[in-house]
Amino acid sequence: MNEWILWLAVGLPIAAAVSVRFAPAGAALAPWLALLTAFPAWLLLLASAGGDVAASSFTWLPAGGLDVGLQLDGLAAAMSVTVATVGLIVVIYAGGYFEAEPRRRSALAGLLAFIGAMQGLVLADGYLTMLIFWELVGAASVRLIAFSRDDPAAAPAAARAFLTTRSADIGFYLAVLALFTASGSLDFVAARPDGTLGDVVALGLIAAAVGKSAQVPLQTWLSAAMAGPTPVSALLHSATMVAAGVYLLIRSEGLLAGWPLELVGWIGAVTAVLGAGVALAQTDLKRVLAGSTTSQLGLMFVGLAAGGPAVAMFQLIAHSAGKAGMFLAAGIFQHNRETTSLAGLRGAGRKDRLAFAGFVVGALSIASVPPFAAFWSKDHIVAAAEATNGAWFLLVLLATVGGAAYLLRPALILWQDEGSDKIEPRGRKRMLLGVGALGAGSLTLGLVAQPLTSLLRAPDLPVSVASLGLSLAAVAVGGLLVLTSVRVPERLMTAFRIQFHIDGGLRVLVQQPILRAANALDSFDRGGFDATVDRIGRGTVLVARGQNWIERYGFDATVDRIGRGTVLLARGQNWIERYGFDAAVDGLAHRIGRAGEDLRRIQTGRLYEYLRGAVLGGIALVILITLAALL
Amino acid sequence: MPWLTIAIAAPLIGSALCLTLPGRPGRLPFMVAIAGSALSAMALVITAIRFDPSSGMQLVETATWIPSLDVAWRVGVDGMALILALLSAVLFIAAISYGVGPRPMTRAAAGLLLLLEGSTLAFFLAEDFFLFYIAFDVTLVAMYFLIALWGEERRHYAALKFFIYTLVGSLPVLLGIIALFLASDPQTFDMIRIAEEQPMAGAGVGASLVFLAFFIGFAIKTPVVPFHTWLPIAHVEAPTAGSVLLAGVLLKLGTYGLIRVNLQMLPEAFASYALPVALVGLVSVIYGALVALAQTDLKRMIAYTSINHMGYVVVGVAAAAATGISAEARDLAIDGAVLQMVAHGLVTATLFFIAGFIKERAHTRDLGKLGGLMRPMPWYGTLAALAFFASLGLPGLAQFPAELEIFLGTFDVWPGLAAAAVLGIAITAALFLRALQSAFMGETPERLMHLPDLSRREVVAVAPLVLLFVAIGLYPRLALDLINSASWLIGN
Repeated sequence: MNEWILWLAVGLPIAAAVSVRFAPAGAALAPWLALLTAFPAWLLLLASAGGDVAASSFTWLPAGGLDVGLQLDGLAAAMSVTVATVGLIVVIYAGGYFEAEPRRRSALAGLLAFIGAMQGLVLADGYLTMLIFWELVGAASVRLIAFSRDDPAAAPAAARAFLTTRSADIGFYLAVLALFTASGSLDFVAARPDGTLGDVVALGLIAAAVGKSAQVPLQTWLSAAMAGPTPVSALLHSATMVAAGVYLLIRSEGLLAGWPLELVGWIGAVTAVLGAGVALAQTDLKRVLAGSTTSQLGLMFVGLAAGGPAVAMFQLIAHSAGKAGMFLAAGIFQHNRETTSLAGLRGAGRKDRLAFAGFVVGALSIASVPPFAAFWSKDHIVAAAEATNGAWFLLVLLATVGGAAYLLRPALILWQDEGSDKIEPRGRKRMLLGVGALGAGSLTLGLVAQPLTSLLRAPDLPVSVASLGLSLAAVAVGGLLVLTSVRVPERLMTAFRIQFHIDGGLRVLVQQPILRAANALDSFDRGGFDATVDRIGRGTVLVARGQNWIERYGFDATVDRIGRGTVLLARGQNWIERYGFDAAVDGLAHRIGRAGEDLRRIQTGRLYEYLRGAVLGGIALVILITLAALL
Repeated sequence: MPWLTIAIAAPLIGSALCLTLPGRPGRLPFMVAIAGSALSAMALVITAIRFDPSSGMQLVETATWIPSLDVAWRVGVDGMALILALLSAVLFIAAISYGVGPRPMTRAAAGLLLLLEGSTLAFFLAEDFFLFYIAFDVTLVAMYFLIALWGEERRHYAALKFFIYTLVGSLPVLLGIIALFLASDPQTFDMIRIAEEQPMAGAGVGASLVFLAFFIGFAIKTPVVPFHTWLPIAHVEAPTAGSVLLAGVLLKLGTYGLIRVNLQMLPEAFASYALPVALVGLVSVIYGALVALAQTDLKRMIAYTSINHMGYVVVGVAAAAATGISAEARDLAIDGAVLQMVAHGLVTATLFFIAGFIKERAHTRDLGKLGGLMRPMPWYGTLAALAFFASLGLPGLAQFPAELEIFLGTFDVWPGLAAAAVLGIAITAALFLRALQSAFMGETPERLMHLPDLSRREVVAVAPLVLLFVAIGLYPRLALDLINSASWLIGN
């Protein structure tokens, strides 16, 4: 039974996406279908809470004995429900958000398809299945980020998001290769293989997670991805897809024991602080939230490294409600003011108090103000960091100061008594419903700690009074910094706003050299290789022409000459035959015949005639003897 | 029934029939072409049903030909031959349905397409070197005319270059065949016997020379860098269906030969050259991807990605030949290499159709002059996005399992080389995303605003290819269970 539900959890959203895309009433149908597709996840949670486990797979690559399949355990159930629930809320909200959009069916279908791929990633039974859905999630995000055809930034942002994450995914591929070579299987394993292969597995998985979760130094794609529609930012770029990196590391926790987890903690702690700085320096509300997401995901990395899976997972769940809620509220402001820049949103909250209430609840939670959800989850991270690594502890506190500051700043701007706007009524009810649902989550999700630890079979979450106090103090400091408008050096703010030239650096160090190499190779290919081949070709033609010439004027002429020579020779022989041999033979007979006469002439006393006869006779004799010898 | 012989003969008879057709325009040549290729496909499907994937070379049909040289009509199938023959049958039906040259198809076009199909199938199904070599060369002649008669502006230059270059490549193959014939005892052209008896085993330098002769011939055909320069120009100048067949079918002649002859008949020599061959493949992977990234002509870009994708095949085959590879990794590498031939055939054929469709409408394939095509042509845009993602190896589409298997197999012997090959997937992602972004997204120039979306004829041509590469991507065993290289790869 649970096996079927596993496949339904992945298959239903995809089927729903197809129906929404092609059914004429697809847009109206979408929320109901989304509700339907959320059921399997809830059923899985119930089953898992009851102690069930399930797995279902089939052979995919027979030569390697590799399967593709889904499995249910506590971690998968918790994450699956988070994805399904936030997904449902965002789809309902998106029905309102996209009401005036002619291509809304395409957008809603895209969200549903994304949910299906994400469920596959969450419920994967091993690294092969996870890699498959990991990449599909990335491809689905391209379509969603690039949805807007009017915003010239949308398409490049989509390409950048995909390319950054896919480059990091080379790590995932290498991890898969190394793990298979070391262990002959791609199941989730409890321990790292020995030696270099094990190191490759750990580093590769961490690289993939850094890319997907927008950690330093690969975080800039996330800010750019804010060019996507706001519901997309809420679902993909705060609550679920970017959390996949954290989820991958939680899944691989056993395999990462030791120095890899240490590395994860450092990456997270540094990103938490830098992300907070980035969020503080932004001039666009969605980009503030993106910086915040980077920072909060960093905290989850620290939570995993210092406190284990349950700590990270708790933060992941609390954050998804709070941050998605803020995004959804931002989407309402965006509809009212048709902008997301902070300057343009001045006073938007005061004009739309319901949406502002939702925004504030989320902000209080993320800024870790009690008694909101992320206060509780953050507290465990602080306590775990304090117990594990002093530096992480300091960085986490610093990130907490930043968190309070970067959220209070936009809240104050939204609350200013300024601007005049009408509230855009279209789709408002459904949008407010989404904001309200996530606000309720931020209020109550602090209670999931206990059920979550038992679901994950994790030890009790770490707490410490000292860290609690320091954490609260940090929040207060952050708030005060904003309220007293402490002057921050402009250069520092600029550095944070442009994210330390990381984009430029990547462009100069990676993108441009590759493009230059490509262009150089291309001209080499045309000028070098191809020209060489052509030269060989032309050379051959030249040689052929040369041969032709030789043939005509050399060989042929020679042959002709030889021929003519032969004819001449033949004629010569003929002449010799006629006038030589014959004459010689005839001459001999003639001479012998005339010998008497000659002898008589000898008597004439003409001595020179005797001599002539003797010489000629001798020559004739020599010729005759020679001819006789030759023949 | 001699189904394999029928599969080869049907298109050839159709081709001969085309000669006798009246010269006036009509649908008759098209009907003959479709009938010939459909009959051939049917014979191959029947063969696939009769085929037993767990045993090697089978369903061999023989007839005496030149007994004094032990030349005979020998055709048979194993997993690789069958899947490539099926791939050819599908691609030829697609190409014929789309057509070459003026419409309706002339008898010359129909005749040449059928001649090409018959000779291609004869090559894949041949188990006798005599037939193998004749088929290898006849494909050249047919393709030469397809490019030279119905290609684009510089078609004569391109066709001649293609013809001469690959003909030069076939000469060492001929020498190699003669050497194998002379070395076999009793002398024979029977490829099955030569593969079993390994006449060149332990022949040292002689075996190396024969190996190199075959390798150069097949390397030109595949093509691998540095023997690739005939490919881009041939693709750019060829008519759409010609490019489809060139990339989809004819490039596989090279890698098929590499496995059939070099790997199966000269495994010892291959083992000693495995690493250099793999490096040649790796260079093709990286070089092809980088040069593709620099292209602005869509068709030329696709041509270079072919070099990249066929490079993976060469890497996989070389890994399988290396000494010290585990049996499991070798099966992965060869399964992956053959699957990659199929996947590349389907995906790249689709890509060349896509390039042809836009050229016909916008009269340009320059990525810089195209833009925002998603708006006027949403279905065309969706098709292109799907094919682009397939070609960059997205899971769920056919090239992912193929490339993953090659990587898994290669990593077993050369982890560093496999890791370098994985870099190729990031570059291909970059170039396809770049093309997608500049041609399909963003602003639509006014002159492209009213381009018509896909026509019925175009959908008919690409739909089977798309269905197949999606199906194989989701469930690669559709192809892998048939390929099952473990059953025919000698030396297991």
